[in-house]
Amino acid sequence: MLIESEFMFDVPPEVVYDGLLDPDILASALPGTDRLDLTGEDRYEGEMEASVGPVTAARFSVVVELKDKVRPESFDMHVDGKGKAGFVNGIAKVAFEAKNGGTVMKYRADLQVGGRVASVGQRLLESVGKMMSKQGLEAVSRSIDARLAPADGGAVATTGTGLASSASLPATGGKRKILLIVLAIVAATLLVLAL
Amino acid sequence: MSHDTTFAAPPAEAPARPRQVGASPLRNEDRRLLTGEALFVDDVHLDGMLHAAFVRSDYAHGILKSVDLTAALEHPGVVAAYAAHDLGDYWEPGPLLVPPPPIEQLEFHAATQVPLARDRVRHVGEPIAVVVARSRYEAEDAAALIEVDIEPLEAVSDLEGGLRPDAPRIHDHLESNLAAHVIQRKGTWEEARESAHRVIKRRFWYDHGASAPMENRGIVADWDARSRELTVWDTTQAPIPIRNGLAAMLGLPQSEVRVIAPFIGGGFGPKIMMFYPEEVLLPWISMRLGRPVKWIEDRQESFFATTQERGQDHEAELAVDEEGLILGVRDEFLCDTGAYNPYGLTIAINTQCTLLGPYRVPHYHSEFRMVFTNKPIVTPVRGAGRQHGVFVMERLLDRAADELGIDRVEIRRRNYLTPEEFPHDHEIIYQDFRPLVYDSGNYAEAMDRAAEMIDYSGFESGVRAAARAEGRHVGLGIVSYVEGTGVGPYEGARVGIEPGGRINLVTGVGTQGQGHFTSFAQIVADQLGVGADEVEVVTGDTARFGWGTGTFASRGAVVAGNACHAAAVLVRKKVLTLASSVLGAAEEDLDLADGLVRVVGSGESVSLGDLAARANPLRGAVTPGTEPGLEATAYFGPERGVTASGVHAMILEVDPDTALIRILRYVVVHDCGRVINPMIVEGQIHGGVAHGIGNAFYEELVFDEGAQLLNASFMDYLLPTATDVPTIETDHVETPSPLNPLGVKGVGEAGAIPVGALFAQALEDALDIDGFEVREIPLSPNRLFELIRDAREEG
Amino acid sequence: MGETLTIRLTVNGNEYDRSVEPRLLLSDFLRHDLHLTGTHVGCEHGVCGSCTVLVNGESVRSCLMFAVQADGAEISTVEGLATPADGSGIPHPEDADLHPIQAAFRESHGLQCGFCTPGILMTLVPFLEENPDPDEEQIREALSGHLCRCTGYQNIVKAVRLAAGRMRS
Repeated sequence: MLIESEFMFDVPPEVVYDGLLDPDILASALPGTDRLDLTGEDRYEGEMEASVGPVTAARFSVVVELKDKVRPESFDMHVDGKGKAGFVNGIAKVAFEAKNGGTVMKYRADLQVGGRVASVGQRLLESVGKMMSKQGLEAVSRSIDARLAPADGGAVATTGTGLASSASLPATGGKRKILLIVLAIVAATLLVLAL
Repeated sequence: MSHDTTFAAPPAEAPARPRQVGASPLRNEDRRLLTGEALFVDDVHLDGMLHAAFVRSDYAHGILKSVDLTAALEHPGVVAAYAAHDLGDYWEPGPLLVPPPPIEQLEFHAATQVPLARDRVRHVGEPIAVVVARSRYEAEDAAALIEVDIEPLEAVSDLEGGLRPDAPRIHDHLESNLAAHVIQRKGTWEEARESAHRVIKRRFWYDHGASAPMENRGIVADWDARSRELTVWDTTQAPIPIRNGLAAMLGLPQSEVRVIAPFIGGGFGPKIMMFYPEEVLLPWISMRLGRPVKWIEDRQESFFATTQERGQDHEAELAVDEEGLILGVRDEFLCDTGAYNPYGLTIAINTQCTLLGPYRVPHYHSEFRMVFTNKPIVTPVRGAGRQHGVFVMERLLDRAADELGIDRVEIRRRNYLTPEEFPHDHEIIYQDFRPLVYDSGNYAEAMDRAAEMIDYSGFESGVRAAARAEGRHVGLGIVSYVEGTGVGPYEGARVGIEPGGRINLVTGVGTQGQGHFTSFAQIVADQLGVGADEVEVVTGDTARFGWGTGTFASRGAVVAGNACHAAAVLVRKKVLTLASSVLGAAEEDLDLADGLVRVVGSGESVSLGDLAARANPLRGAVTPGTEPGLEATAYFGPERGVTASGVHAMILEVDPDTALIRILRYVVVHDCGRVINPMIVEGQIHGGVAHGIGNAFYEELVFDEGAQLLNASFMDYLLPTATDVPTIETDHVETPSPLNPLGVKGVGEAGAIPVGALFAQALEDALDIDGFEVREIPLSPNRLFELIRDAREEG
Repeated sequence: MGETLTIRLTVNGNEYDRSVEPRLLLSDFLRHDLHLTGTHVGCEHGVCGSCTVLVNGESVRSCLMFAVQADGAEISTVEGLATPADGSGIPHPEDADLHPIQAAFRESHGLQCGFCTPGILMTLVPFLEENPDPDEEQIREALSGHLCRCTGYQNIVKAVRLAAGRMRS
């Protein structure tokens, strides 16, 4: 499964790039995430429980590793998620380009999805993936807004319109969001696995 | 004129024709099926029965590093769990069921399925472990606790890629993923090409789908240590070979193994003898635990765990002269055999032979390569490769007709073998290892009738003109096919009359819904002068009859039917001999009717029941040199397969903007030799056509590049419903086969075979867009939409 | 086995009290607890229709319902369909005890392997009560919730017409 998209930040690539190290906020972004830890250099491990509608939760373990880092241009994100309902693994290539004082982030995730999710969830994969990405980003936006509001005072409120809103995020929120977006895609894929 | 399941009475000029064969008595098995009394495998309930669930691979290709059963074994209700290493010496690859036929310079590499994956997984759904618990629910709970560690390997999902030198190798003991390479030749293709007026060359892709019987597979195994009997209820089309194989694997005498194929909810090929992992493991588990064990496949499992049929990639050339006469055909194709190939070359040989169709083909070069891929195992599914061959030939003929400006019916007529040309030797080897020699047929007559029924000559000015006036796109398709059916080796039957007058017929072939309880009864009834409903038929229980192979290759009526006939003839002879002495009349003066033997011209008679009692006396002596009872067993083994044939025609409406279709009429003229039961034959054709329509336009097993199946449910894999399948109008041509006493040919698969070719032609005819050609099946509204768009853009 | 609940229901006129796990499907309950195996299971996801039974007179896919949801319900399965009747209109005396729809299926060769048949019958019973004189399109529409791999549906349609005609007269 190929997921390809891009969006715009209003801060330069260096800022965006450097902001990818804090996993704290991720748990709130990924519905059903119990845990997401930095377990080594550029390595995150997590446990999540996904459930969709009436389907009972299925547990997944996810390992994400950042590789081939070229600051501030690109990195590869290696994803390996496994659960009883299937698996997802593959590489998300993320690239940054300065543009008009901000950053265009382009990502291209080539994911192998297998097991029950692939065989019975295929029809829903794309739509659920989009929905979950949007929900994940809205959650991120809200929690970032909550964090930034006291410090920045007049920070622009993000109203949770998904990707469209991301370009207007303040820098602190935006840099964290890159990882979140890719992980949200992974999460969305995993959620479909639970069907 | 209505051809919808109405049948003319047997012709009056044939008084010798027996009264049951050729008639349509209602089916003997229906009452049990309609009231819910019929026993299917999942209906078997035994005291103390345990339930099994399987853990299967999520990966299409990978190294199986570890399987941890610990948590499953601790789960409440679990009695046992096994992985490959627990099987000890019982772990062995399954048998090669069909070794390659004697074709010169043939290359063949076998790799058969294993009971549980041991160090490698080769397709999604391959079983890795099995859990046995008090209930299926508990077994599935526990199966989810089994930890399986698989290191993924790159998967082979396409045929050309699988043969590249750098392709991942699926079987370590082989040098490549090549499963077979076979060339069969007749004459010299090069000569045909050089002398040709035109050579038409095309590449075709034809994919087949799932068999999808409504009943999934299932097994109940029960080992009784005290009576030393292993009883296995199995949804198999071939209980006797399964009995023989299980006995050998388990080290039991065949007499201690009983395999019962009760009512089977459809088979269509994959329920043939496979020695599926579940089939091999359940009996072993029952013996180990001393308790009955049941496993019933669920629908999702069946999309991986039951064998399928699949894609062929053909590059074919047809050489014709100016008149459209076929000079020769060259065809090279790749054939997907999945992860293992227990059925050897069967499918590809069927394709190779069936491509020749009802035509005179002086020169033929056919070459195929079978390729291992990381997809579920391929074995025959209704049609079994034949539709691929028909598609290639019919498409090439359509192109030749276009290029030469010859009418498509006419070009076929010019090339048909004529009734005088039989037997016709095609000089290549068929799947039954015998030369491909057609026994009989009358292809032109079938074409004439089909053309008349569909009003071929009036279509342009009638249906088409009317549709055009309304802005609708309507097309007609009409294609021919042959089907090699009724192959050996043999079947047997035992017929007996009980003292009460009951007549029993027992045969070894199973049944999967084809009406054997009725058609076989009709055959016997004719010999013994009774009604078909008076013959009680038992099939598919090895304790009742232990010799035979099974129901596949459209062979039930041909091979088992003739065995029933042979046994009934022997019993008739015994009846006449005994009645002759009882009634004091010569045998030739006796007549059997209504359960009585009568002396013609006198009122004297004796009932079959009385004769049976006399044949089994309590006092006196059975005459030396004779046998007690009125019973006989007989076998029939055909010299070679018999060739059924037919023509399908359809009128199809298609909306070029939405690519949605509607079948307005569907006509089948079929020749299966002498018809035993027209009602049943028609039913077989209806079902076959519906299956064919599914394959042509609705059903597709969609795999991604990692060989993951993406549509393993009936929500996504679309079987045709009552609103998709039209009323099918049928008629028969009867060219009795000279190769068996009943003169019958097979019919079970025929309906499904030409449908793809028919759809292709009808769509082209309806759309009439320059450059729009159908070179692939299955289509779908989506795919058709793309083809229309591409043709328009190029045009 | 986990927590169980006690349910009481009527199947084909007989009352049953049983303790069942909340997750037990009605189809499995009928087949394996009550041993009414005439109801078949073909897909377990509500597409094929083989498991159709009547719950309080309405056609229901018993694989999409839990047994506990049928607490207090009146259920009819194929085993209860053939009731001793006068057999009026059925030309084959041996089938006089069958429901007219069952008899029509036999006469029209509306079944082959017979696996999907019980479910189809249980859809047709209320269908013909509500639509005593259906046309072909209505019949095909009614059947479209059922999958049959053997018959191509043609003879099923024929059987429905035959049964409808007999049931009207």
